[in-house]
This record gives sequence, C-alpha cells and structure tokens, in this order.
Amino acid sequence: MSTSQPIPPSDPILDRERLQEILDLDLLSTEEDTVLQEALAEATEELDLPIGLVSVVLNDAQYFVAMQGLEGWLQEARGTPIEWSFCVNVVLRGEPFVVEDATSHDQTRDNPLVSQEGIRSYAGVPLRTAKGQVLGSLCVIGDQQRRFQPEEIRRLEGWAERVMVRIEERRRRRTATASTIPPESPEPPESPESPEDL
Amino acid sequence: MGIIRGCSTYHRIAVNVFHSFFNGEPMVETAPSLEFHVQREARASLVTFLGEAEGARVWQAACEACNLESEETTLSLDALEAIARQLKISRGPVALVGHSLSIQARTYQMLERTRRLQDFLKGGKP
Repeated sequence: MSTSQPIPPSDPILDRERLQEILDLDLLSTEEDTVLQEALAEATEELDLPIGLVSVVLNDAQYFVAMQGLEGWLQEARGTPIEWSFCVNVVLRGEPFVVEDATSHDQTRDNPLVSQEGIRSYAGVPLRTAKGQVLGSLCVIGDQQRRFQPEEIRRLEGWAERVMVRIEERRRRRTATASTIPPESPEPPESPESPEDL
Repeated sequence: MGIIRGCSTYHRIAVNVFHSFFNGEPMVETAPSLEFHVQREARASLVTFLGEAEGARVWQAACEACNLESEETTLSLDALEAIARQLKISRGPVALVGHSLSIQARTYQMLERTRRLQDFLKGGKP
C-alpha cells in the first residue's frame, strides 16, 4: 500500500463507522441530558456504588457523556487518555467487562486510576447502536472489591439500552429539526481546513 | 494496558508522569516528554484517518491557525489544547482527533494544576 493512502484501521477502536456514529449522534456535546443522568443515578443507587458513567471511547481518549459521583480533576477533565480507560475493554470485546478487584487484575493493576485514584471494582456493558456498533460503555465503579452477580449485569444492560434509546431519540429529533429548515437556506461556509467527511 | 496500538510505551510514560505528579518523584530523565507523545499520537491518528499527506497538511493548518510552528518537536499542553480546539471545528475524523487531543491535554493540565495546588497547600512553591 502506498504511504499516501489512509491506513485501514485494524482494531474496533479505530473503526471509522463506529467513530462516525459517535459524531452523528452528537455524543461529544457537553449538554447535560436528564434521562442519561437518571439512568446513572438509578444504577449507582441500586447497585450501591459511588460512580456511574456513560463513556464513549474515541481514538485516543474516552469521553464522559454523562457522569454520576465523579469529583476533582476527573470530573473537570470529563475523560481520560485511552490508556487509562476500563471501558475500552468493553468496546474491544463487544461484551460486558467486569473487574472484581482491580489491584490484582492483569489489565488494570498498573492503571494510575487504580494505584492513585482508588478504583477497585468495575462493571461496564456495551452501548450498542441499532447498527451493532459499540460506542462505549455504561459502567459503575467502586472503591472496594466487589462481586457482580449475573442479574446485576443484566440490570446494567437494561440501563444501557435505555441510554441508547434516548441517544437515538435525540438523533431523530435533530434530523426532524434539520428537515424543517427551508431548502433555500444558505449552507454554512466550509472551513478550508476541513477534509471531507468519512 | 498495551492493547491499543502504540500504547505500551505511552502508557508507561503516562503512568510515570502520573506518579511523579502525585508523589513528587522525579521523572525518568530518558523518557520522552508526555507532551511529545500526546502530540505524536494525535498526528499519527490524523495520518491513520486521512493518509500521510492530508494528515500532515491538516496538522500544519491547525498549527498555523494557532500561530505555532508545526515542526516544533514538543508543544506545550496549552498549545496542544489550542490545536485541539482548531481540529474540533472540522468535521468527521478530524473533529474526533481534536476531541481526543483535547481530553488528553486537559487531563494532564488538570493533574498539573492539582499538583501545584497540593504543593501550595504543603507550603512549597506552586
């Protein structure tokens, strides 16, 4: 292959359709969504865990679309580099990822969020679109070791489904709003730096 | 974790920086700076998505828009955040790379601010 051609992504994280879905669904907006917040509030309360996140996994980072119980710099940064992300494992596997004791788990024990921020347990389930793309994870996080029962994972999947229904609803609403714009409306000028869409 | 392309080195550096921020331990002198790696990853992502020539062109255009030298080997976190803002204006994968870059730059800025605050509270120099 010529070096001037784009290199095809070989892992799901770099899947173009998946990344395009994240953009199309406007998931990088900072607007708070009460439905997503309610889902996280219920999840953390029912499972009795301090932190809940709706996290989308980008190419080099994860972004918290909604968050419950986060404090300090993590709340302000609203994401982390991908290397520190537990949720990346959900996207890579396309299935739930559970860590009962992060200090002894092969994939998490060296993670600074474990050694410095005190994360001990994690359960995340896929945020899957109708097209089957896994955009990220709905997860709950604890500061103590914890065992997750199959029923609890099913409950998390229920909340993730609710979150995706809401996200798809938002897309439909935006599409409907866009279609009401008169056809003679001028197109916004394109930035000269903008390459074509995928 | 080492499961994503190029992550093992980057992760090691990220961990090193994180520990040095919070424990006041010196960074390993031979390790390339974190800023350098964040910058390299962002440029690599642009190349992955757009190809070598277009990826380089978009990076250069973003740098020029921020009055920065695109060939600068190590840009500061503030400069990377400014470039991220430029990339986020674009559409498609460029916007995504911008968001990722922004989160990474912001994460390390927050850590630095937290560390300075801790130093200040301990009575050290901020």
